Amino acid sequence: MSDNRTVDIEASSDMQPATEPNPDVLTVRGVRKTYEAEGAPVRALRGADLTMRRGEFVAVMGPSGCGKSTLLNLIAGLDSADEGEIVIDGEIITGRSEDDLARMRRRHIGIVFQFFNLLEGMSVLENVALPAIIAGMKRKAAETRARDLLDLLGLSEKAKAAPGVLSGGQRQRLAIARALANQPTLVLADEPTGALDSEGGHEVMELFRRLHANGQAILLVTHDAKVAAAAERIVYMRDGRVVADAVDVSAQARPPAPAGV
Amino acid sequence: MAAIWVRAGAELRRRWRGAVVLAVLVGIAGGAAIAGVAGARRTESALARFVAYSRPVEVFILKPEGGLDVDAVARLPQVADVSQSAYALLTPSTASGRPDIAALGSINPFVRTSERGLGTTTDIPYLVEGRPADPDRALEVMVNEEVAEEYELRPGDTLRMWAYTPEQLDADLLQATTEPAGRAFDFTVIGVIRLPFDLDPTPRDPEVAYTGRGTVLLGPAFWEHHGDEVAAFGGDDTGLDIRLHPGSDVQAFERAVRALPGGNDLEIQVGSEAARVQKEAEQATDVEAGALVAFAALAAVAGLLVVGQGLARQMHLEGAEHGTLLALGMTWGQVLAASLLRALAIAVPGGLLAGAVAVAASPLAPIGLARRAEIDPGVAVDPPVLAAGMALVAVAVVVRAALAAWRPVLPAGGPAPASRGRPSALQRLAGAGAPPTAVAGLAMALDRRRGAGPSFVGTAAIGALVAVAVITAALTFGASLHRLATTPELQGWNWDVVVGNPNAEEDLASIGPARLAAQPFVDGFTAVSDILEPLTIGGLDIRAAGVDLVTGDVFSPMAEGRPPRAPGEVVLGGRTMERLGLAVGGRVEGRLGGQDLSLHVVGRAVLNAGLQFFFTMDEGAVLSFEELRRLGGDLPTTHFLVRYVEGVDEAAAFDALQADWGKTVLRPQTPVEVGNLRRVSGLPFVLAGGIAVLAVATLAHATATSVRRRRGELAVLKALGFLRRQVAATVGWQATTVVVVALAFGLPLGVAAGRWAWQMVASGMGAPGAVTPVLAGLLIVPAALAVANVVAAIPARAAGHVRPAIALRAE
Repeated sequence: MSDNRTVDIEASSDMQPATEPNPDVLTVRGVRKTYEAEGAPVRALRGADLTMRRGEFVAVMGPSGCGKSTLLNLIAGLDSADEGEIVIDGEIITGRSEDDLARMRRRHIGIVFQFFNLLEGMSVLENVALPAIIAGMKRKAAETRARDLLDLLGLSEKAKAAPGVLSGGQRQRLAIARALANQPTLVLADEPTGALDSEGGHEVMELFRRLHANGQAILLVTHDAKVAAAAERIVYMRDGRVVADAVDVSAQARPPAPAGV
Repeated sequence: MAAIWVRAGAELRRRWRGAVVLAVLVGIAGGAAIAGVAGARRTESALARFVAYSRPVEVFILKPEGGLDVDAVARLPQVADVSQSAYALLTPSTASGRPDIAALGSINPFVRTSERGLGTTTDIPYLVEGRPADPDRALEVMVNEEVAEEYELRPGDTLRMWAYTPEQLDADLLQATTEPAGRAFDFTVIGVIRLPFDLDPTPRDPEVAYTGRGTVLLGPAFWEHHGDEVAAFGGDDTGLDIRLHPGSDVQAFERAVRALPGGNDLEIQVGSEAARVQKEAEQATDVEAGALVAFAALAAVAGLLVVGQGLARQMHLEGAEHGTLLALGMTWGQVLAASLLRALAIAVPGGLLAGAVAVAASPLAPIGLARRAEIDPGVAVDPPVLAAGMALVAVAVVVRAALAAWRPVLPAGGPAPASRGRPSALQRLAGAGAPPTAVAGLAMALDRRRGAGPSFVGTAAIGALVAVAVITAALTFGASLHRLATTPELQGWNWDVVVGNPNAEEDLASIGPARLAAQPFVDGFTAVSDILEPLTIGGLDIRAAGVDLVTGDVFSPMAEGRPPRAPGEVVLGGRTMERLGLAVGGRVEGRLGGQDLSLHVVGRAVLNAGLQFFFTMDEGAVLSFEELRRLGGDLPTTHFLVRYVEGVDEAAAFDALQADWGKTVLRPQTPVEVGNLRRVSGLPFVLAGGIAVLAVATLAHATATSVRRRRGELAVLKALGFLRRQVAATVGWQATTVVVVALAFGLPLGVAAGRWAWQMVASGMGAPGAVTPVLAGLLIVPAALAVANVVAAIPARAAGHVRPAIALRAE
């Protein structure tokens, strides 16, 4: 990674690779995953398929236990699929070792969690700088970049504060800044507004809209239709499979959700 | 690497208080362990260092008048020092200033008669108090601690001693009542000293003169001015005290002396009293050193348990963010490295502190007998132990941290942890109608879900188990030792008193039996002859005695067979028999006093020093007088084993015998081996107490931590209808479960360990098997349960006050 890449979420060109880009940023094909729980197997994914194009903002909806979060974890390389294939920016990530997946995340993935998962022992600035440092950037350069991101997200005054003093909305903004630190190919967000009040949720979704407007590919998991409405495409899941897919629909023109969703 | 430093630094800043506490705990526990090992080494080596410092005389040559050129001996390559000394017959005075004739022999007045030697170039004393005596002042003396204590002397005080005259040398001084005919000397005590033979672990009986080990060192000026007024053994032209260079070949030296003009018929005695005492005392110091090593081991184990729990707790807290770090792109190796880097920040200062604690605690060692042998008391640094100990402490902390950190990491936002399911014991308990508090408490104690952090039952139960086991083992060992120590028969004392001085060469055969038979309270007695030369069997030199069971069959307790009566019969100590690979009924060829013997082993007995002065417990050989007569030896009857009539007034009988025999009536004494054990018998209880305190602290910490960690579950119980006291009772059941687990395994383990330890010790002494303290063992059960519930009371109360709305919202 270059140390002097600029940060400008308004300048989408910075996020495009110089060479002929792969049009698909994510491909999920026939992915299956079964967990052992309470002595009985839980088939979380039963052949899930999904494709995302570069710069696309996709929301995944579905009832509890439908496999949304499992799908997200597999795409992030936090868990491994039993069957099927996942390709991110042309790289097949299934079957790779944990360390390979960690390196893949540094290049391609930024994650935003429902409960923020901020590192409480570090300052706001350190939280944002850490992914870049992990990816090999010099500490000073990483901190400069982190300051730029905090400035853009309106958190520059809190740079030295501990995450614990921030409001819910601020904490999630900080988590988003951290997710953007390595200019990832794909931002994954798992119920990013789930732990926020309506004002905080609105604030965060506005930020996602801005990111998307500047070409950032985002895959968001939610069970909240209002949150999903911010996306340009909504994917419905049930019983471990994608059961409906609506591309570029407005809230009015959107097809009805399948029964049970 | 930068990411690892950033993460480790942040965690260290965040949890620095916990790290400091852990480093201090590491320092204390590690320091105790290092101090234990260093103390054991110091204890083990103290006697050897003292003897080396003292440079004892190793060879004594009885010199025929004018027959040997002393300078020629001094020029032999093996010789480091040649000198002369004498033993003066002086007896202390009574409180009224008159001669205390009964005390003759209880103080040994040694006189340096040459320029070199005793107290200067050989047998150099350790100065406890005062200064060395001036060799030019005839009445300046140094006394050992026994004399200083007995006569309440300090430097500057006066010690009056009465002289026997040279004309009195032939009198029976030790067993009769001869008044000294010489003058009184008022010596000025200049220094209080300690010599290696002051550390003789053989018990001293103030009522028996020959057990006394008092020493007064007199200088050459006394010999010059008053030598002709005092009866003495040794001195001018009568013998040479010789110290050899370290590592010299004694036999080559002996051959070289005999090759000198006039050396052919010399009597050469090899071996120093200091070496004998060192050998016997080292049996005691070895036990003490072993006890310190055990202490070190237990301190290390206890420290690992306590610090381990704290480390596991810190690693668990830290581990909550591992998933996030992995999600941010750190590899597992980087995450682990950051954790270990932080553990290193505890390990390194902890190790250094351990070293400092060990050095600070070093003045506590050596312990026991070795403490008196220490020539360099106070702070001591043992570089190899210190360096290795500090390194081991640091490595142990890092390894323990690695074990705590090395567990499956739940990715942030990953699936919920799977429960292993409810253990069947709980199902049975619930099915049997146990109260819900018990089932819930048991479930909480036994729950080891992935991601639930360090197991409650794991660390606390192991700590409690170790404490219960050590206490039980200490009780078992202590009860067995108590039985042996309080039962003279088990120590080989099958008689009430020993009459006569085994050190005197006077033959009591003609006067003893009649005098004893005249006493109405004497039920029976056996005549004994100390055989100073060893009996050689199978290449082993064995201490031996001859016995004549005059009346009443008074003899050592027989483990098997019968006492020796006829010619050719021998009884052996159990350990001797084992070493020789013999059995009762067997025959063995031996050699004594240059003659071959064919002996029939007729018994195995528990022998001790009461029968023969140099016997150690369960070792030795006893022949019959008939066999000694057959050999044609002219061995004297040195003493008698006397048994009283049953029910007699023992104190009156003793007084009557003492009136007849003087201060040569010896009542049962604790054997050296038993004394050695008794000296360290309190240590297991000290250890057990220390471990119990740590276990209680661990249990308290674990209970409090568990309540904090399980607030959500406790809140759920409340939400389901548990009353405040039921929630508290649940916590009580949790602690009770831990202690029940500890008792279930700790009690049998402790009994087995205590019995095994006793068996190891007892088998070398011919002592009986272990005693299991059933009542004391059973008392541990209610005591442990009570302690557990008292310890759990405060966390239980806190648990009862958990507010479900808040706790569940926080969840």
